[in-house]
Amino acid sequence: MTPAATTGFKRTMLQALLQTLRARNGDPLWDGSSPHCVCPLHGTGNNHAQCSLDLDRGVCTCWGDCASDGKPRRITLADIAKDRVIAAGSWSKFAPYLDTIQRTKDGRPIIIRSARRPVAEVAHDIGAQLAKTGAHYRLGRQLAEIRNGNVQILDKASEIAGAIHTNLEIAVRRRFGLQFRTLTSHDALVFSCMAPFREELPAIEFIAHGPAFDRDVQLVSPGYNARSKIFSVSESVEPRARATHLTKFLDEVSFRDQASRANYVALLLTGLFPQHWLGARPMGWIDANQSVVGKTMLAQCCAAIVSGGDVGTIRFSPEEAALGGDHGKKTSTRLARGLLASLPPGSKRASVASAMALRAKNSSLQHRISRANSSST
Amino acid sequence: MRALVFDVDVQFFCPEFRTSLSDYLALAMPELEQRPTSAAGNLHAILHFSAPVKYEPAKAIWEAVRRLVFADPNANFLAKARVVGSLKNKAGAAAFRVVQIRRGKPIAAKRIIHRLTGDST
Repeated sequence: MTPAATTGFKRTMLQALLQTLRARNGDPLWDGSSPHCVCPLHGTGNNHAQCSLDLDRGVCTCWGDCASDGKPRRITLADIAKDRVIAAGSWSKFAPYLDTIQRTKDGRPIIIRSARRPVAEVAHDIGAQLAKTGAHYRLGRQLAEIRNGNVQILDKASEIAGAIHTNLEIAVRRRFGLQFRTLTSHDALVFSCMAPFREELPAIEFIAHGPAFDRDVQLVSPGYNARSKIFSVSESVEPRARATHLTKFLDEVSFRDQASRANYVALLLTGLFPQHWLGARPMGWIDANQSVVGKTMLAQCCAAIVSGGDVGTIRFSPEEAALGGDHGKKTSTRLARGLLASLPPGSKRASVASAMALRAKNSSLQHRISRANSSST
Repeated sequence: MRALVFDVDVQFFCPEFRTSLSDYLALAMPELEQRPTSAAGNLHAILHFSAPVKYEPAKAIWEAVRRLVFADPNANFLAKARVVGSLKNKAGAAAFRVVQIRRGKPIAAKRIIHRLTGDST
């Protein structure tokens, strides 16, 4: 058995740590007998009952500063050791010391189920171990897996059970030792619907198929970005110090004034922040005082940032344009499908409407877009 | 085996924990003898058995206790402790005389196993 997985080990270490470590005001975290203690991570020492102790499991549950959204935080021995005992650069050496999960010979974790163990705790452990694989995430309320660099939603019970058994083992304790069990599809579905399971998985809020920036205007790297919750499936992009090509491109177009040029740059940038307008349809109009000056080209450039290539256009004949109201409705309906509208030469106007909302590759995003579309029509 | 040695190296610890390391060891395993081996606070913690223990159970106990005392992950199971009163000379550091700051208390292997690896549930 893994030494750190035993009740005795957890109890002994937690008792010793809580009596050794001090709160910020210098008080001991625990008096040695109370069922409560000061939070070992953020406790100031003023409230000696902010954490409830579970010595046998080696955890304390913080209802104070660590709690978020009304939910308490479960603080494990590893959390305390990482935060208060081991120096920052040495944690990787000691992390295996506090691995409380038993493992198979090939290193896969074993989750113990028993009639005496709360189902929520089992769900928590399964979610935590799946999260540690680095290939499983939460997309909305669904479990998602990274396959060949793409995000795949596991929406079938059998797929969820398969993902769980591929990455870990479920066992029950018997007198002769552990007996491995298979999760039924129904069990797997129940676990995946439980909050303790879902909360352990890192959430993906947006899947970027092209270059994307987070809220701090930092270019997100390929893969999962925990801070922005963006999963980027695009190739790595090396930012340049100077916008040489952009300047060259903008110089090709004779903008009316500097403000128009700045507005167009803003339009281009809009395409780089798709996660901020997800579900909405930003629209830009490009006006000109004459035809064939490059309005459609400018619009296509905006669309290319989102879609990675040219997009289809809608053309209207002068007769259609003369219809007025019907024409506007037709445009907006088509724009919802992610097309550029190129108005007849007489109108001197091109739009870059929901070209931004193109290429919604994941179904969740498509669903949100279609929902937004249906609500707007 | 009559005793086990745990090399506890303070360079791995947060500054706050370095100063209270001895207290932690005394609380986690009161039977451990403590011998500081450097001015920085590194020490050898020694667990004495009341009766000799065979290799396999001794190794299992060592694995559990080394986790409990946060001993150096690279330490060897068969490492020897520095003798009390001996001088430790390492390049770049002043000579340090090994002392004993806490006496150990021999303990039966069964008691440790019961305390650490025994599952009460």
